Amino acid sequence: MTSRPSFLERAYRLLAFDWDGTAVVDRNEDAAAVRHVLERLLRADVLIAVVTGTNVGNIEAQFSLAIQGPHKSKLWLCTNRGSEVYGFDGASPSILRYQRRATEDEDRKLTRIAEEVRADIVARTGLPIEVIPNRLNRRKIDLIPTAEWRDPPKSALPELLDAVEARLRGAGLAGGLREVFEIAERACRELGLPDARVTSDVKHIEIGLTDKSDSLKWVVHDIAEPRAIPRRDLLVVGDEFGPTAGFPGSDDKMVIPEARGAAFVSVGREPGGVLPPVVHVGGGPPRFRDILAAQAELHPVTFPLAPTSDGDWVIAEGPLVPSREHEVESIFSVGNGYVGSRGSLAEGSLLSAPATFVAGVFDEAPGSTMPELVVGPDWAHVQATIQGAPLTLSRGEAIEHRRVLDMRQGVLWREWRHRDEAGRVTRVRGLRFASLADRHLLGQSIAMTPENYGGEVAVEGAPQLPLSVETHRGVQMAFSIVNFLEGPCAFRRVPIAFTTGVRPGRTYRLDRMISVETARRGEPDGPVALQGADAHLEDALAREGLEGIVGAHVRAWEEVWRSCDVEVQGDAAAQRALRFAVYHLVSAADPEDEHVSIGARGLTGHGYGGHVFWDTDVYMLPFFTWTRPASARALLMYRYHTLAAARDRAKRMGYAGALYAWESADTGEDVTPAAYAAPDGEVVLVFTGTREQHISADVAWAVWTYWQTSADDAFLIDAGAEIVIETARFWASRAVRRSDAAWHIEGVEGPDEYHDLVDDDAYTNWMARWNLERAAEVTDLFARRWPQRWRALATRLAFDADEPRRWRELAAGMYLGIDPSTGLVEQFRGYLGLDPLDLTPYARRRTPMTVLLGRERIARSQIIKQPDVVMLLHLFPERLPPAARELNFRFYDARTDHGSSLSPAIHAAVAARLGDVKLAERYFRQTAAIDLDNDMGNAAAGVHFGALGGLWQAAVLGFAGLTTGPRGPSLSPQLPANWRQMTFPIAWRGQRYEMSTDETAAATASGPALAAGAP
Amino acid sequence: MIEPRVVLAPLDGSCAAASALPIARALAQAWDVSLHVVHIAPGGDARAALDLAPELGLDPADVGNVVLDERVGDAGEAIVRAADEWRDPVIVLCSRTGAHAELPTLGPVSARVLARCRYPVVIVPPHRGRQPWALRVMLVPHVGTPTASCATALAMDLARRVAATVRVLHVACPRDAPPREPGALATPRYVDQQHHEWPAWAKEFVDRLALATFPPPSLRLALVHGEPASAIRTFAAEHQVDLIVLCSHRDLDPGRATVLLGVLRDAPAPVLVLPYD
Repeated sequence: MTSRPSFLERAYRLLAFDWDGTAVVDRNEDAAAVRHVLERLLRADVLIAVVTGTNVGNIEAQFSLAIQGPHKSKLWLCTNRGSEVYGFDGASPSILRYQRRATEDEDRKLTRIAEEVRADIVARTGLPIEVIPNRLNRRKIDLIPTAEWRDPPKSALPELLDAVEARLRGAGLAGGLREVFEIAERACRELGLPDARVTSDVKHIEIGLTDKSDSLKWVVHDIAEPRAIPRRDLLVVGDEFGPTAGFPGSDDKMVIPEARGAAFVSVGREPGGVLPPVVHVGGGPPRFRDILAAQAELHPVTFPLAPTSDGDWVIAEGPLVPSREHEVESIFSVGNGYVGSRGSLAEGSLLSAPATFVAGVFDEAPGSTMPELVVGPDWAHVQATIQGAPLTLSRGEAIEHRRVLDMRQGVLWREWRHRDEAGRVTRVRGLRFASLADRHLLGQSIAMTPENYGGEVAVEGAPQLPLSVETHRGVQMAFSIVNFLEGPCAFRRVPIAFTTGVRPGRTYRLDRMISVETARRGEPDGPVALQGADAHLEDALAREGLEGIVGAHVRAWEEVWRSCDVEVQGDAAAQRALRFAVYHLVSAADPEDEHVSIGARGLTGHGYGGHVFWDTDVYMLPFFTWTRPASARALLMYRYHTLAAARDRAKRMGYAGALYAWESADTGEDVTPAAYAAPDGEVVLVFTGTREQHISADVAWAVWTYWQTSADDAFLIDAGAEIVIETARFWASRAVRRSDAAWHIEGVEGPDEYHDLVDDDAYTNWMARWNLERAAEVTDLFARRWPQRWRALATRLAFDADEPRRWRELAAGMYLGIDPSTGLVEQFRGYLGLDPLDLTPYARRRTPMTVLLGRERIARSQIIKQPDVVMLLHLFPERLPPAARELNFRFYDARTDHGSSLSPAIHAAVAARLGDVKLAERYFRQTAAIDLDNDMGNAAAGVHFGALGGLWQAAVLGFAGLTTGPRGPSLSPQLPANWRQMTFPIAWRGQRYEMSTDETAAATASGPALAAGAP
Repeated sequence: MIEPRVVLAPLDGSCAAASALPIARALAQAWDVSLHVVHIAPGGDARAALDLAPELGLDPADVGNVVLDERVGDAGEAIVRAADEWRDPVIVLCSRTGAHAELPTLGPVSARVLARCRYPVVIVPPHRGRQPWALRVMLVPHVGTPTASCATALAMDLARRVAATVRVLHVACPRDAPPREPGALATPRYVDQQHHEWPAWAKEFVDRLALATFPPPSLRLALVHGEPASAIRTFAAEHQVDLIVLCSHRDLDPGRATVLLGVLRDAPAPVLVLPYD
């Protein structure tokens, strides 16, 4: 490689250069090589201006049309010899930024001058001379319009000069080309355009209003100055600075006073030499690419975004503990509601369990009838092999290793420095995301720096990736992947597996974009959708480029946080836990798909098979209802679309109405297993699927709460009312009247699954009563407000006008288990007669009591798994007087094992509302630790979405005491001692409110509805 | 994991001591290492191997496959010294012999060997006799820590070599706090839906355990509750295991190593004690 002048060994922020002869030999050359390195520079924030005499179409065709993405906004084309400047906004078409337009008078004069010059030469020589008129702001006079010299290459310039001079002088023009210049300049002066620019490329004399000096002025004034780029950071490159036939070269026009201090370099032949400040290096376009490559190396490879540094927004992996890998993968999952992907190590490890899940795509495992979320391909798998040695944590030594979940931007980061067994040190940085702006896109970027070695590195990505998968349930998935490699000198598309040379200290970045499409077999648009994976990806890349896709994703998360961030001042751990909850809840919901719901572990792990429980309706939905109503609506529409299966289920069990599945997947049918093998070897029958019938009322509660909060009448009319009515019909058929004249619900299992066959479970009965009351209310409301729609619905549901009366009668006569003398609610009939086993000796336990003492013993005791009566205090606090609320909470709190992750959050919320903030805080922290503690191992199969929703409820409904009344939302705060301030947005009846409270318990709510004087 | 290079079987000529021999022989065969039978004489000169064999009750077939050695001095110390002379031995000895045969757990020799040696030691119950022994089912009680997984790697390797099934046993103890070691997996705090949670937990437990030994042997996890030593003994007896594997710091001072000593008390099978460092 030729040595470079020292001034080319520093980085320039702005490059301006000639095109023909400098960047390319001619316009037929493939410009891919120079484009790759220029794109690399554009991505590194270097500003680039092409300065050319030709028109924009020629440069677009040869060069710039192939550049796509936001980095293109740093490119300008200064065309037509200083008369135009084009810029870009990231999309492909060029945008005219500046144009010098000749006046009619100037235009006439240009034509006249050109004709005069032509006539003068013809008169003197008798040679055929042609004027080329159709040029913007200029006229070209062809001095040698012969077939031989129709389109001479730059390399033939000396021969061309000889031919032109011989032609002119031989025909009697003794001064040759110089004389033609003089004729042209004189004509300009005499015919009224004394400032016209006369230039020549030897074949032509050109008379115009602008030249490249105008281009450079624009570069200086409109690119450099607004960005405070000093002249010394401007590098100008051309090939014709020196004189040609005694006249200054065309690029010499770029040496303008306004650019003093910039560096000027000529890569041309320059037979006449160059004058300072121009430095001649020669070498033509290859040398120009060498200069660009050197610049690219001086500008480090960077990521399209930077990690969030604020510790309140990140969850960071502690010291690397290989055995924790499964839970780390779950915690660091990325998702967007359509697709979720575990935060597995890209290269894998012995304990890696990489998985990508697509919401709603279920299949039965071999030999099983239980549908589970399909584990999609490990699209993020990348294995680098350095001179035959795989780069892996299991070989050599991890000098540093850290994964960071950047919740603010929805990005998983990885930082890793590794010394392999041969002593080679490699630094790896990576990011991964599931686009929230375009839910079908996943992205990954890995930057690798060989710190102390060079040589060949082989890279293999997702070798086992099947590009299309079809489940036994008739759902097809298609994946499409595009890889880009950005090295020090180029940015180019690469295959999934490739080998590249690396140099010490240089950084190489692999960008990968993945598109996922799904379709149900038989859908008319299915095949199109599947084939669309490739097209979707290419379209997204063409439209936005990788940087644009990342940018849109980050902006989508900004919008998310505006709508649902709970800000806590004074308690960093609580702050992080709440953001962790919001991050995962939002990552699990797809407001655009009303045929899927959120499973117990969302899209973060295979746990629970992706099945949907009451967790979604009672624990998660309040978060969505209050912050992301569109997601809440979609989740409830899943219940509506599975109503038919719920009706079938009720019918099969001999009841009317609709009984929702305890566990549901894609169809709404119950998919609860009938039995399982416990770790002690015992085969245990599972009764939840048939006995936990409270879920039907839970769904109705979620429907009603959403409607009350959102005022989404269209939802109530189209779907919600039908759910409430059908679930009420189930209870009406399920309850039996006994000799005490009360209505009883017998043979059920409540939320407390330690007692799996009980009569008159309090939670079930109270929820059923509420469901019946709401059904009666909604039929009245519907008939009154939307009579026409009601008639249609009533007909379709074969509604009997007597039904509301019966529902009210049932609700009023429902057995509630309240002791009238104390207000204590008995959890189920006979509960108070069980062994009052004291939990105090087990206070330090970290294991459920069923494990410590056995299921049989616990079933005979008053120890309960999770809130049942306390759940009622949470959902319907107004239904019991304050003293009874306190009594019931204390009674059951002492007997609750919290053997479910759903449990402590509800106790936190209820304790906070009762004013026992210390106890509430303890339960809040217990909930926060469920996924984030390092030693629980609970999160290996996915994070606990019910608990995450519960955590939000504990903070917002508990500590902040959010309630609504006739005058809108209000707070009754009971903040923990170190919470100085708590603020959060809510959505209520179509308006956004900012809620705030502080340590003094002062509460404010600001929102549109409050402008009329509400508190 | 350090692979054994020799199996040492200290014998004193008693029937009880000889009960270690079938286990020692099978282990030497499994690891493909030599079996050294060591006799400790209280005084005098060490004798030649041929003179020693009849006294130790070794029949001609036994002698052909073992290296015989006699040391002089305190039995416990002499065994420790003999072990130190060999690199990476596994010691197989009877828990108690002679006058100490009726002690509940360890005799003075096995206690000293166990406390002083940093090598794997197999403690054989004195009453098992000399009937043949084969390793088909191994019981590995496990507290769920990565350290325990590393410590049991030798046993896992042994099981894989002889295609034995490993029954991994986790004992949930009401009074014990779960281990705080990073990466430890105790019984789950939350069992939201038992039919989903327990299989997932069991798989996770086994996956983490297998991390220390790749490829792992055939593993089956069991969870019981109660006092650990008793639960381990009961499980071993009920499932007719051939070898119990325990990790121990081997601090046998009063009040320490309660699980180890509790299992050794009337252990229904030989116990492989692995250093837990």
